[in-house]
Amino acid sequence: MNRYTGRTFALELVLIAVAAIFMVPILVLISVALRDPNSTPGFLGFTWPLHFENISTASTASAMGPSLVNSIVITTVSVALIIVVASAASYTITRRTQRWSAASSIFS
Amino acid sequence: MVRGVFYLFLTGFLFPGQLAMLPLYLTFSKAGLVGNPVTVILIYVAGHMPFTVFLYCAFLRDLPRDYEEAATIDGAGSLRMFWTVVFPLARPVTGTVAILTALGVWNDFLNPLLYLTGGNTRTAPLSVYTFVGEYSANWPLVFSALITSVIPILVAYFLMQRFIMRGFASGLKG
Repeated sequence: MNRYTGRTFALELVLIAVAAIFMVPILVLISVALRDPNSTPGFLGFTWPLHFENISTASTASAMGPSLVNSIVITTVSVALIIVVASAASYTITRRTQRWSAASSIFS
Repeated sequence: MVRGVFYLFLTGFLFPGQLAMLPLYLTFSKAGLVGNPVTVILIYVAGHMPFTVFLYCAFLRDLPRDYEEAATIDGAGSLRMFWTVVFPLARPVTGTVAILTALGVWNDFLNPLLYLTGGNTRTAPLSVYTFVGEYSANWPLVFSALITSVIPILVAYFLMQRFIMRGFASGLKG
């Protein structure tokens, strides 16, 4: 059974600090996304009021809906094909029992 | 011979994708495929093949052959054995491959910029680029578009998180 020691506490503090560091870019992303588009540049800190309408404005102006559909279709088809072709080729490579199997794996 | 085929796949690691950019563009242009999503799908499938084959081979080499021998005794052919016995057992590595390749394909900017610009088939990274001008950028709108564009891949990640963790724990050992 593991005991909760001072070392465990120190490790927890380090992990919390690392997690906080990883959160910084996400906070910058959200804070910049929700600020007034005409405001002066600056990446740290939230500016009030928050402009949630930026998200709908950006989605409409960039035609994000059809682009997301295209991205989803391309990603899904690509990943499915990669998995089917690569798994079949790898199975042939690792389980080959006949001489011609290696040649067939090139075309699989 | 088999080892040679394996290393043939691995040589794909040696060549940067940019090396093939111009010849590929000219080839697809002559074939009239520029602007067609099939072009980028073909490039993604071919480009991710070395890494994916490497992962699957590392996993399948450690997979016991007992299941396949049992399936052979039960009368299963090679194809049936692969799809009903081996492929389900390779689910952890399939999850890993799916998330890694999906992230790579989703975030790719260069290939859609080359092959899909100007058409109706542009992808999410190209839409985000709408707000970046030559001399200035509307950063609040760029970042808002970024938030919208990451939502689908984030949902996919959370749905497949279990497989990803299991895949990294067991699928990547050589």
